[in-house]
Formats: sequence, C-alpha cells, structure tokens
Amino acid sequence: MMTRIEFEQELVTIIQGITGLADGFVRVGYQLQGQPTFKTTENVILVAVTLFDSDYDKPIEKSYKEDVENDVLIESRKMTVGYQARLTIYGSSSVDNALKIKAMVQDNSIMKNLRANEIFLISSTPSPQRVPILLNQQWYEQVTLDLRFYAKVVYNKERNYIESVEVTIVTDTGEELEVAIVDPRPTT
Amino acid sequence: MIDVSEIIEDPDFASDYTVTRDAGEYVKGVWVPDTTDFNITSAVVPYSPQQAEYTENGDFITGEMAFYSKQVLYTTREDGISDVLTYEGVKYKISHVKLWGKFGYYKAIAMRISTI
Repeated sequence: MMTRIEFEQELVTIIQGITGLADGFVRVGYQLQGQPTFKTTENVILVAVTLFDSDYDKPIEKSYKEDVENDVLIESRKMTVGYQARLTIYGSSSVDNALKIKAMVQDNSIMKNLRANEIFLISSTPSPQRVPILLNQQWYEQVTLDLRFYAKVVYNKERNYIESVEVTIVTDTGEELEVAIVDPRPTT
Repeated sequence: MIDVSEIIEDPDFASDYTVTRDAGEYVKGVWVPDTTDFNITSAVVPYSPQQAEYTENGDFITGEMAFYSKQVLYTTREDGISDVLTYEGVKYKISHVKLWGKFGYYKAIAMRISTI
C-alpha cells in the first residue's frame, strides 16, 4: 500500500519515463513550503492526487487472521478507493505530452510497480483539456489530463480475544459439574 | 548615488534576525530544501499589523514585517525558494523585495508563516 506522496512520486517517475522530461520537470503539486515555478519556455508537468467518489468504495470488508508468531488476532478492514491523478501539463509540447501519456499508461509494463502496490489504472481515461493561461503577460499552453485508479487499502488492528475461561455449571440440586473447554484448533 | 544604508544598521534602529536561505533541488518531483542560516543586524519595522484571523479551524495570526539589509534578500528564484526570516522567534517568508541596491540597501516585505 502506497501513501499519497509515494503514489505521486511513482507517477512522476512513470511520466518522466513516458515523456522523456528531465528530473525536476515533472513535479508534485501543492508542496508545503512552495517550490520554484518554471519558465514559459519549459515543458513542465505537475501531478496532484485526489480522491473521487465511487460505489466501489462503499463496502468495507472485515476479516480476521491469527498472527501465531506474536500470538495476537489481527482484524483487517479492506476497501477500494478511487484515486484521481490530475496532471497539469504546461509548455509548447503540452498537447503532445498529454496524448502520449494517455496512450502509454495503458502499457502494463509501465504500471507494474503500481499494480504491485494494488493500484490499478481505470483504462477509460478522459480526453485531455486544453486551457491556455495568461502568465506574466504571455499566453502559456496548459492542458489537464485526469488519470483514474482503483486501489485496495487495508488497515489492520490488533484485537483482544478470549484465550480461556473458567466455567462451572451448578445444577438445580446444587451439584457442581466439571466442564472442559477444548480448543478446537489443531495443536502443532 | 547617495548611500543611505548607514542608517539601517544604526544601533538605534537595528535588530537581529536570522535568514534561512534555500538552495534545494527536485528529487522525484518533490522540492527538497537545502538551507543555510546566517544572522543580520539591521532595521526591522512593522509593515502590516499582527492580526488574528478567527476561523472554524482555529485562530491564526497573520502579519507582515519590513526587513532592511545591506545584503541581498531573495524571493523565490530558480535554485531556491524565498528566504525565511526569523525575528523574535516568529518566522516570516519574503513576498517581495525592493531592490534599492544602488543606494546601498534592500528592503524585503515578509509575511508571517508561523500560524500562532
């Protein structure tokens, strides 16, 4: 399972591989302390991951597993979440880069590291949108492309469970009966 | 040109503040700051009031100070983000600089980034 920033950095690596842009020209957006912007002569892509609503993220599956080594019971809650990676693509090659990314992310070999982390591309990628913006008195090419993914996330918690209990049955005549509770699990 | 810088370091006006200067780089798309600190003794004056913003997320303090310096102070540039200035324990990030270098000094307006 990847954190949001790990996911964004993996996307940075993937997009650099597809577009051939050098290190530092594919960037994670919304960084806490800010970051230097780019020149209007440069091709730069910003990546920002958010979530989208989906019927698939509603069921939360609960399961239990015994951790024999540590003698604890693990409760797992699994769900599917929808991630939307918004790529904001700047520069004179922005349309070309957007179309290239849209096509090449379908390549299974490119996405294998994400798949290994249970993040799967939804193959029907929407069309890129071209919306030039005015920066420092110059019209600058800007294209947005949204990639959508389903990811499996699992959260674990140690749960307490009853190891043994003492049981006494007292009959209506006051007689105490011995009771043996047997662990049904096979002993090894 | 008249050099008017002497007054900004006059003990009657000067205060100590620390400049945190960044020379970071991108690592897998994330800007990783690489900072060095140095001290300046020069005039520091209020530029806008320290103001409380009462929001549903808590009370934030905002405000701006003007920092004078004989050394150049930087806003964000290609190889680093804006200088962060620490004055009386509060951090301010430079939002603009007046380049009065020919007259011997620089004036930076910095916005408070310490939220409280």
